[in-house]
Amino acid sequence: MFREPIKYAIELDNAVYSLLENTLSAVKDVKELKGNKWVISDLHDTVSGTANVQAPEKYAEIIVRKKLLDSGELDGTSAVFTHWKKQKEGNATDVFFTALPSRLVEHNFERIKKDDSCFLLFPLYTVLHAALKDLSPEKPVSIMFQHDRFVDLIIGTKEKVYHAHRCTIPDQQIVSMWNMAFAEIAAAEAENNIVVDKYCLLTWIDSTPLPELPEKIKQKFIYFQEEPVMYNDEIHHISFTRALRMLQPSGSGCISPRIEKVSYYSKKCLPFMTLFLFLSTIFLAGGYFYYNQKSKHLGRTSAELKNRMNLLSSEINRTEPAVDHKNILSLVQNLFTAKRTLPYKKVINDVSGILSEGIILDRLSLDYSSEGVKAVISGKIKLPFEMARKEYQGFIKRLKNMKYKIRDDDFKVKINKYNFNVEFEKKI
Amino acid sequence: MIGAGFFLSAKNSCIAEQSKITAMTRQLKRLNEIKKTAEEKKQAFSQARKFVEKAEALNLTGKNWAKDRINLDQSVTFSELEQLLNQCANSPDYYFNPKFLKITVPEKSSGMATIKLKLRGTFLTSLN
Repeated sequence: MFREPIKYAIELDNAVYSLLENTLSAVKDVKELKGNKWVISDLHDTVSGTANVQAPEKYAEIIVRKKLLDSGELDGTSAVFTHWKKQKEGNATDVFFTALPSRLVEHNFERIKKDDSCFLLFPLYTVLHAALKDLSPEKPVSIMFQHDRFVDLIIGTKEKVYHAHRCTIPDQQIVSMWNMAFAEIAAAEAENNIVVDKYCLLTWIDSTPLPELPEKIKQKFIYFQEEPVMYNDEIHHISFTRALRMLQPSGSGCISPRIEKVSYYSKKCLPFMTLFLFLSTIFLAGGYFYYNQKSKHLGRTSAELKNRMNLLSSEINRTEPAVDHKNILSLVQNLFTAKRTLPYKKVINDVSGILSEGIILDRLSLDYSSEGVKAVISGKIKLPFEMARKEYQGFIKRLKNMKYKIRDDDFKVKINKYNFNVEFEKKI
Repeated sequence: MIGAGFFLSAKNSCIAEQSKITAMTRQLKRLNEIKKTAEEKKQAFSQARKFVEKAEALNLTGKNWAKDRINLDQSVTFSELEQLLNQCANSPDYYFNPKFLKITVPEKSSGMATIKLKLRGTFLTSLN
C-alpha cells in the first residue's frame, strides 16, 4: 500500500512496453497499463541536444527555441523542456534540452489528459541524464544507449552536460552506426576541448553486441549495471531498465502538465494521508475520552470543594455575639491599679524618710500610669560641697534600696548651693 | 473536523474546570484563614463572656460602683495636705486610683505656710 512499485511504460522505436518489477512485456498502447504510470518515450520528431545561449538562465528556453527555429531543426511553434541548465559568467547559459513541436506536445498532453490515471511522461534523454548523474563522473563520460538502429548519447560530467545527440543509420549496419557515434564523440571532444574518459553503454533487449573495435576504444567501455528482465519468457540482461530506476522518485524531469504531477503526488500521498487521518482520529478520540474523563473527575472535585466552601461559610457565619466587656474590664483594671499602686502618701513618706538635714525639697511630682508611678523631685542642698555631694549620693542610694529605679539624676553646682533633680520610678 | 471539534470542546471544558478548581482552592484557602480568625475571635469572645460572668458574680460592674473624680489645683496648708493625702489612699470603704500629684514649695512663704498642689485621681466606692 505504502511502497507500491512504479509501473513503467517505455515507448521506444515505435513499440510500447510495460515494465513491472522485472517483467517487460509488449503492449499495444500505454492505455493498457492501468493505474499510475511513468512513461518514458523517445517522442518522435524531437530534438535533444545541448546549446550555449547568450541569455540569463530563466530565458534560456526562449533563446533555444529561437535558435532551433532559425536553424530549421524545428518548424512552427515548439516547446523546449530542459533536463539541465547552468548559467556561466555573464549572460551565457549552457542548456541540455529536449525540444518538441507544439503539435506533439498537444498530442501528448491530450493523451495524458484522456488517461484515467496519472501519467508522468519522461523524454528518453531524461533516463540518460539520470544514468550520468548516477555515475557522477569527475571526467567526461559518454552515456550511450544503443537500440534498434539508433545510438542515443550524452557526454558529460557530474557538473556539466557537454553534448547530446542521436546517431541514426538507415539499416542495422552495426559498424557504421558505431563509427558514426565515435565520430560524434570526437567532434564533441574537439568542440568542447575535452577528452571522453569512458563510454558507458546502456543496453536494451534488441541491443547488438559491440563490433570488433580497436583495443584502445574497447578499454574505454564500461557497462552500466545490468539487471535480469523477463521478456517473452526469456531472461535478458539489460541496463536501460536499471537506468530507469535512477530517475528521481520525485519525478523530476517529467514533462507532464503540473496538474498531472500534483494529481500523481496526491494519489501517492493518499495512503499516508489516510493513515494520518486514521491516527489523527484515534488521537482525537483518545484525547476526547481522556479530557472527558478528566473533566468528570475535576467536576467531582469541584463539587466537593463547593460543599466544603459552603460548610466553611456556614461555620464562619455562626459566630458568637460580641460581649460588652470594656466597661467591666476598665473597672477591674482601675480597681487592680488602685489596689496595687503606691499611694501618694507612701511615696512622700519614702522620700521624706530618707532626706537628711540640709536637703530641701522644692518640688515633687508623681505621675501614675497602668504600669506604675514615675516621680520627679527637685531641690537644693545647703551644705559644703563635699558633704552636699555625699548626702546627695546617700539619698540616691537609699532610694535604690527602697526598690525605686533611678531614671535620671542631675546634680548642679552653683555659688554656695547645689541644685538637684532626680527622676525615678517604681512599677506595679 | 467533527472529531477535532469534540476534542477541543472536551479539552476546553477540562481547562475551564481546572481553572475553576484553582480559583475554588484559592477561595477555600482564604475561607480557612477566615475560619481560623473567626475561631480565635470566638475563643476571645468566650473568654470575655466568662470574664464578664465572673465579674458580674462579684458585682464588678459599672452600675455597682461609684466613680468620684478629684481634680485639685490650688494652694493648701500642710495640715490640709496631710488630710488630703490620708484620704487619697485605699481604705476598707473605697479604692483610690491615683493619677497625678504635684507639690511645689514656694521659695519664701509670707504669713501662713502654704504649698502649691495639683492632684488628680478617682475614688471607686462599691454601692453594695
